[in-house]
Amino acid sequence: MTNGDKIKKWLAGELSDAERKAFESTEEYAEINRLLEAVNHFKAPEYDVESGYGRLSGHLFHHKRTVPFYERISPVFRIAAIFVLALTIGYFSYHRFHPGSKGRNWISEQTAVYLPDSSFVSLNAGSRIRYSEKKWEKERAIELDGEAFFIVKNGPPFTVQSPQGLVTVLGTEFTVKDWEDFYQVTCYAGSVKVSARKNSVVLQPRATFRVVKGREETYRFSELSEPGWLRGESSFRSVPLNLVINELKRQYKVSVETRGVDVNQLFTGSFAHDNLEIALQAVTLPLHLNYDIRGNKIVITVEGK
Amino acid sequence: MNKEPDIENVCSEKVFSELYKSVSKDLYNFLYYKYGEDSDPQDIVQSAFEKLWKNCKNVLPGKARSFLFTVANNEMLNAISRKKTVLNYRLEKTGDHTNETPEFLLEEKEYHDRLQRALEALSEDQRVTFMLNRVEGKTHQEIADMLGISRKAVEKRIYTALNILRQKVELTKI
Repeated sequence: MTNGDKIKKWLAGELSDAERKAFESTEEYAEINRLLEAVNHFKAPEYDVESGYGRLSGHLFHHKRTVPFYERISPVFRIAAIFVLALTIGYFSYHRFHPGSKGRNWISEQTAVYLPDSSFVSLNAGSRIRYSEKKWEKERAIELDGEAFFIVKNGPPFTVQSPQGLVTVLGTEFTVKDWEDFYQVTCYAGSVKVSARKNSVVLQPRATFRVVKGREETYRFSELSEPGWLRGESSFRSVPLNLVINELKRQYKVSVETRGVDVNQLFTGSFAHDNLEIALQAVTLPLHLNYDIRGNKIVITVEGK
Repeated sequence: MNKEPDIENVCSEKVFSELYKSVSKDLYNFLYYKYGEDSDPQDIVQSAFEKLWKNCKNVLPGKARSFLFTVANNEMLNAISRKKTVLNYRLEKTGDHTNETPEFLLEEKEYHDRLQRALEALSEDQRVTFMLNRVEGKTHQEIADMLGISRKAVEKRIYTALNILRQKVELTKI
């Protein structure tokens, strides 16, 4: 019997007791055994059959139970049911269209928010989100106004609706940025589906989809594992200057006036959130612009004028 | 009204739930070891069962298992863009490691890193066969049935996988 045959038989449990004992005292066995022991560390997470079935059956059999119930009830109850239904719809639509309704207030003061399933959201300056806590287990739906970074736990579909698009994911890390005519989604891990305007795109890690003033673009980048603003920095890649200035306004809570400046020219680069002077230099110097700080107001002018 | 339960297909909640209880974990493990944890194996399991329910009239209970495996595998192939399979190494906290030297722990960690890379580099078929046998304790026959291949083929895959792992883990040690 060759060595290979011996290992094959050992794997299949086909060695006789004597052969097995002899083999298990060799050095080769010690090496194989170490490897097989170590492989156990890569065991799959335990699959929860009960909860998996609970979710699936709730989802699949729900309608089956309601149909016979409807057939059994008397016509009087059916009419009553219509009133109950109308009142319920009225109640929910009232709450839906009144932003102050319970459980769906905008969250904007905090910068880091943990959602009910311990998914994580980090909000950039001047941004806000809201969601329904009651419905969270059924649909993880977030409404976003502004820019936020998400780390989503695995689970039912997670959606981010903002004025210019809808992002759908299962579990992943991504940012959504929706300011005026700038919409950008960047995926850091997992994959996300973006539906904006008429199209939808699936993004892989380290890819960005954006719509700037109606123009769509998808590109890939190499190194970042989280958005710059989490580290106190705003980064741009060929972004019209007025959008960069708007970000400056949000980060430093200042007003900015431009005089004779082409605000549609493109800016690539970044600025830090901890020093207004340096941030202004970072933006104006490459574009040959001057700036002047007057209290809470910044005036940007063209160099040499 | 026909009160006789129809056992010719899987359109009964009872048959369906039994199928779920007996197949879902195997299916999950199969997908996990074949495609890695980033491929959302849980979602694919759920959606395969959903498809089974929708097609329950056309699937005999005896064929449900292979229906689920085929559907899940196809769905996975369509969902992923052939990215690298990632198996997560779980650090086990055991109390009896306190006496070990940093050198030993470092060597141990490097060994696991090499093993992880080697596992990820196996072919999907090799990895799923090997892991189901060595980690989940499935017999060669059970795996053969699960994957629809012969017992001999299972044996060969496990042996080949072990050889590749040994080479990759040991070679780089020098």
